[in-house]
Amino acid sequence: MSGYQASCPSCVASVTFALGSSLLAVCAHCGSAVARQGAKVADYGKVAELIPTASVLALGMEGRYEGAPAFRLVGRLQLDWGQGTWDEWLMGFADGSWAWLSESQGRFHYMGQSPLPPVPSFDALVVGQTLDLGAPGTFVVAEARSARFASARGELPFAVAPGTDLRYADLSGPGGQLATLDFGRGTAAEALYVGREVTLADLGLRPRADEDRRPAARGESLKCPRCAGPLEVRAPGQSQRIACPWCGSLLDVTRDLAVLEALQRPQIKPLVPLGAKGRLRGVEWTVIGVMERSVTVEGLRYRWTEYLLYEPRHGFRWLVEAKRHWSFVEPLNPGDVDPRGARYRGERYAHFQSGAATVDHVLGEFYWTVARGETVETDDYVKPPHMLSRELTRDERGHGRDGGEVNWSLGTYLPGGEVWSAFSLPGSPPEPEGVGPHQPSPWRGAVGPVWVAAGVAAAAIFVAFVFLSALGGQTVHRQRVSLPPGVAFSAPEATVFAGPIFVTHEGNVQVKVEAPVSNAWLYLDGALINEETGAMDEFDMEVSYYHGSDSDGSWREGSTTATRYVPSVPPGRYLLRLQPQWENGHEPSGYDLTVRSRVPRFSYALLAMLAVLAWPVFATWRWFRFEVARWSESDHPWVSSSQEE
Amino acid sequence: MRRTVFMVYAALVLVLYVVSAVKGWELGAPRRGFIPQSVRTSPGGYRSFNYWRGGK
Repeated sequence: MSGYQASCPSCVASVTFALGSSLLAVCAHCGSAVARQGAKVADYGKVAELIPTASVLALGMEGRYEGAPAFRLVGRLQLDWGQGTWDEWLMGFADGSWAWLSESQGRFHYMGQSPLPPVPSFDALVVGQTLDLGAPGTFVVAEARSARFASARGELPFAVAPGTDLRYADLSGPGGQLATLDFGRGTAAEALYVGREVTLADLGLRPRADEDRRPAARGESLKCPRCAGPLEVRAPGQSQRIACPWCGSLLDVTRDLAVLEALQRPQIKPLVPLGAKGRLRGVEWTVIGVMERSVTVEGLRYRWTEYLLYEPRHGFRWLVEAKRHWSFVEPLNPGDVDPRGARYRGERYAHFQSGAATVDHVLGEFYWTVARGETVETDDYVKPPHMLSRELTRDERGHGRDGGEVNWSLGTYLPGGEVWSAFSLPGSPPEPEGVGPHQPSPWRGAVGPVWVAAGVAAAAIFVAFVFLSALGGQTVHRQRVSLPPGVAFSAPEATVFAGPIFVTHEGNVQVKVEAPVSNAWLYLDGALINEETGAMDEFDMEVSYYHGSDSDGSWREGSTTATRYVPSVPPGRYLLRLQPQWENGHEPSGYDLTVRSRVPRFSYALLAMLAVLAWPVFATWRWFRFEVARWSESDHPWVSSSQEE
Repeated sequence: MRRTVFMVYAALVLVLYVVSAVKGWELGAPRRGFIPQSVRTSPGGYRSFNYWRGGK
């Protein structure tokens, strides 16, 4: 790195511009902002003291990133956007180039310089719109704001006076890429930085030793200025607000716990207490804040509770409880979500509900300037067990109609037992109410394969029927029975003993009678008698056929044939006794008798197929009922409430 | 798990159908009786005149 030495215009102390392209340096002696203007330097005024943040970095730290020349942290800029402060570290590389390392809420983003393509002016930017940035790809505008140059140390690549408002837009691109459009004090973009989230290990940096010594989430003990109740700051340097758990007052952490709002005694009874620690996704999180929010849809108010989780090295996550259904919620890069189809990682999410979520109650501490009544526009999309949520914050500080910030998050459904186990909570979790929007259906994934398996099983039954029909159905007796003319049905001559019938294999025996009856009936009292054992199976059958015509046309009823099955007939020699009855005056001339052995019945095959198909039908019905319950409170109910009633 | 249970269930239904078809099982209770040998072999027993005439 080339160096440039100058004297501070304020105190004449030596000021070094280690980076050739640096335009501003903060005098280490008097704190003046010294700007390079060609060969001269100018005093831009005193720089305020650094705002205490939980930074783990320090000027002078050296590292290396992705094969680039070694770098050193040569400058630190603190920006305040009104609801919080973050640090931007200037990375000065050995070849004289530079990049930004943004540090906020325990997360780091490397942002390198990139050619600036034509982009809309600051006033024309709309949060959520996509911008083609050329080689880096298409990005989504996630945030458009202005931030105040709050403080700085070391050197900076631009020369503006401390206290200046600087406009910027943060964009999110595919594959976790991030970009920042720097508008400076004007409306036209001046610079583009593109990068991604990194870890300190990626940069070859080690956290400051004093940070290493600080146990994770150990709180700083304070007292509420209103009720003197003990307070614990569990995310020192990160929290902006604390809602006193004793008196409910909302306190400003950045201004020595100034009372912002004297709220009523907190009305939240969190299921997971403040300060509870639990291991989820392999990380031990601490519950540092609890917030109750609600959305009102068609006059109905839906409430849920959000638990803010914190871990110094992983930042913040949320544990959300709604009607005793739980979710673990992680922030997403807006650029990774295609808002047009709500697609994330190639998967499409179905729109569930939109609304305006309002903060009703708060407890504990928060990393933003939370306020009761704070409202954001929300859109929820589901693909169980995940829920994709979009929150749009409208900027009321004059940026423009659609200014503000868009945040996407991904919630993953958690069984209550997992939460209870993670946080070692006493007892058992309360029973969930209804079906959660992204609760995995116990029937999803089971229905399709079961239908396939049922189809295969039904086909196998049909094939078995065809196979058995081909093998069985052997005719063992056939006879034309003639009845003597004028015989009475009670006369012995009317009774027939057919046989001998030889049954060679165990199975059923089919007795089929075909009689030429017309508007008459023939009743047969039958018995299949085993001549060897005397075992007898009795049955009866009736042939009945009527036909004619009336004012509606011709009609017919019944049939000239009748069939009966004798079950489980063992092999042997048999006689078939048939004793007839008929209507007086309608004596039939005779009938044809056919006896077959081992006749598979299609009705039983059909019954078996129905038994197999009943399972997927039942599973589909249960799946349907589950989904109806899921979508009943969405913007797209499957059945209307009147239909449900 | 459910799929495995269903496969077992479907296999049982298939086996039950094949066995019932082979064995000739029928729904409902058959009316079963017994004719002693003495009756079967005695004239005027169940073999009537028509039997010897072959039903004709």
